[in-house]
Order: sequence, then C-alpha cells, then structure tokens
Amino acid sequence: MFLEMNRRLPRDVFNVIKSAHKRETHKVARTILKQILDNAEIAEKEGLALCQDTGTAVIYIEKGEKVLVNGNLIEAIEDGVEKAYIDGFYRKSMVKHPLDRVNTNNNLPASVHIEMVGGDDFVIMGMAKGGGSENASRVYMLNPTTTEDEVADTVAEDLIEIGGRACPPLFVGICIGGDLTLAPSRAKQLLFREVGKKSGDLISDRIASKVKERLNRSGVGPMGLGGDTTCLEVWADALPCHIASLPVAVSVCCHSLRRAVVRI
Amino acid sequence: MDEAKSIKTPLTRKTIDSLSAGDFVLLSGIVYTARDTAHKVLNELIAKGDKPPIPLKGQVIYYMGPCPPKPGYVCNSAGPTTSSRMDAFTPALLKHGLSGTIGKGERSQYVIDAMVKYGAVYFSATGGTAALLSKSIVSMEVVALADLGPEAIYKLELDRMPVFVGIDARGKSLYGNRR
Ligand code: SF4
Repeated sequence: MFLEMNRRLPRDVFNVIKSAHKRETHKVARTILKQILDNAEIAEKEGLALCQDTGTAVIYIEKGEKVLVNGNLIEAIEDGVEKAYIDGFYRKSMVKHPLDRVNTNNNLPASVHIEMVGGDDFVIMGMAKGGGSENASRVYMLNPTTTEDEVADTVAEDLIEIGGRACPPLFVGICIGGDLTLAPSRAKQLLFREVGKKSGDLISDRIASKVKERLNRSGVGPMGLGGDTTCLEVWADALPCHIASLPVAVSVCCHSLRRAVVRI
Repeated sequence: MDEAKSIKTPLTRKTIDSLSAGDFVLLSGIVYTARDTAHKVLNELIAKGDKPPIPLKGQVIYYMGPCPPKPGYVCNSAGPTTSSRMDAFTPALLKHGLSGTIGKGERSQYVIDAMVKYGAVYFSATGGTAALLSKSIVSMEVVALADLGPEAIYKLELDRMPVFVGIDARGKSLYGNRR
C-alpha cells in the first residue's frame, strides 16, 4: 500500500490539479501546476517517490464488529510499512524521541487509529503524510458562541498566513466539534474523502466552501508565489461537543495528497 | 513558460542583479545542500572564526534532504524543504558571501534585509516535485556531516534545475501579495 502510494497520485487528486492548471491565469502559477503534473507522471513511470518527504505512515482502520482478526494487527501493519519504505528507497522520517531526534531508520512507528463500526466490512485507509503540511495543521478551542462565518474566517485567515510553507495548493480537512482527541483525528480522516464529496451536514459544507473560496481569492497561489489556485479541496464535518466548548481542528495537506483506501 | 533565464553558479554580482522576482530560471553548476543541523554547525564554525567545510563566496545553498540512494540513479527523489526554518542562520552566511538560497515558502523580513545588504537571491523550487527536480542533478557527493544521512552537506552539480526567483536582491518578493 505505502510502496504504491508514494509513487502514484490518486486519480481524483491528479484530476483536480489538472483542472486547476486549465483555469489558472497567472504565469508562474501555471508553470508550477504543470511541474506538479509532470512530476506525477515521472514518479509513476519510473517508480520514484513523488516527494522526498515520504511522510509518516498514517493508518485509519474501520473494523466491522462481525470481522474477526487473527494475529497482531498493528504488528502486521508496521511490518508492511517498514518493508514499503525500505523496498521503495523512501526517506525514513521518524525519530524515536522528539528531543534527542534519533532516527528509527524504518519509518516506524506508524500513526494507527482503529475504530469499531457496525457490519462486516474491514476498511484500511493509509496516507503518507508529509511534515511541512502537518506543521500547518492546528486545533482551536473557540468560544461556543462563535458563528459559522467566524469559524470560516478564522480558519481561512490562518491558512492564508501560512502562505507557501505547506506547499499549496492545499487540501484541508476541518472538524467542527468533538474534543481534543476526536477533532484532530476526524479532521485528518476527512482527507481520505473523494474530491467533490460533501459531508451532508449543511453547516459544515457551507464552511468548507467558504474556506475554499476565501483561500482561492487570497492570491497566495501555488508555493505562495501568487495565483488563483491556493486550495484544491476542503472537506468539513461536525461532531457533537460539550456545552462549554467549540473545538475546531484543521488538518492541512499539501498538493501531494498520497492516500489509499482498501475495503475488504 | 516562455523565456527561462539560464544561469550558472557561482553567481556573480552581475547575474544576481539581472534577476527579478518572478523570473523562471534554469540553474546549472555546483550547489551545496544544508538543512537545520548543518546550518547550526555552519553558524557555530563562523562564530568561532573557523573555516566552514564548504566555500560560501558566490555560492548557492539548497535546503534539501534526499531520499536514500537508489541503484541506477545519481540521486533519488530530492526537493526543497521549508526555508523559514533556516532563517535565523541565514544572515551570517550571507555576510560571509553566500549569494543564493533555494527552498520553499516565505522568508522573514530580516533575511530579506540581509539579502539586499549583501546582494543575494532566493529561489523557490516547487515542493512535492522531487522526482522531476532530481532529474536535474547530474552528480552528488557528501562533503561534510556524513553521519547525518539525508541531513548531511552534499555537493551537487545541477543541469538546468527549474526554479523561480522568489525574492530578488532588491528585496522585491513574490510573497505577500495577499488579498
Ligand atoms: S509539504 Fe508535501 S509536497 Fe511539500 S515537501 Fe512536504 S510532503 Fe512534500
């Protein structure tokens, strides 16, 4: 899964960049979007990593209650990740301790999240998440009286402020509500959603389209060098929360959104 | 894109002055890589008055840490990292003659001021196009801090690597035209 993922952009991601390239009116921005498309073709053809930052291996699992798993699931996942990063000649980007910064040399541990759900499906979602855009992600603890427009403005203003650092054009997942555990986790999980797919919650969808529209009007552009294309997609979702809180988590991903979903 | 400017390192004052923010440049010649730790080490050496392990005068530093070597390739996927992490260490290097840097994203105003003062340009390479960019690297060798792996200082020879002038030596920047 991770071997393939780091070499091949998902089709919905490739296509949304392609249509942005067609629409883009700035010269520098058009060249950058073209470079991104050319890079995807070279990487796929030659089996090279799309980006030298081949990321933290992020894995979400939805396990249906009727599914029986034999053996140690996390061990099996981590074996797979390690093999992919060695076989692919991918950069190992994990350090064991955040302050002594010694590399684990196998890109482990992975960031694994397992959720029990109804039914008999077993879904594995994997993402190679780069550090540059992860650094742009954040959680807000807003006042519970904050309005829909204020949420959208706060998120959009801060994403504009980040500018070129997170390799725009960006993909953004926003979770409104939940708590400090649930909100960021759900926000990141939204990055697995197909481009163009809505949440169905009207308020979340309005916030998502406002943030996207605001970003694309900002002029930040690809790599922050100016242009019409700052954001490729925003997905938002809402979760119930405590009467005193309004957490908002924003998970940012660069244009190189490397993810895959397998349903068994 | 039309009219790419082809330039070669080391950069002369004339070349530096001929570049303007927004130019599309094909960069050839020797550049050196350095990331966070390498910058810290270079700064410490300069502060002590010791000779840095790489020349600085007219040179260009590329903020990059490649994927591990892949058989059959001069350089595996290699692209820029975020420049602002190197900001604190950059003015001292510019003062000692560094003429260009390659990375991605905005620079702090004090870096721009130092670029104007000492005469240097900042190039933006496109993040997330590491397979494409690696095609312009024709040779690569470690020159210092080998134990740091991808964070070591590499000497690279480039052949027409595509970059944009993000900030020129007059301090004009493509960043920050925000609405
Ligand atoms: S932000 Fe994304 S595209 Fe940019 S360097 Fe990091 S992983 Fe690569």
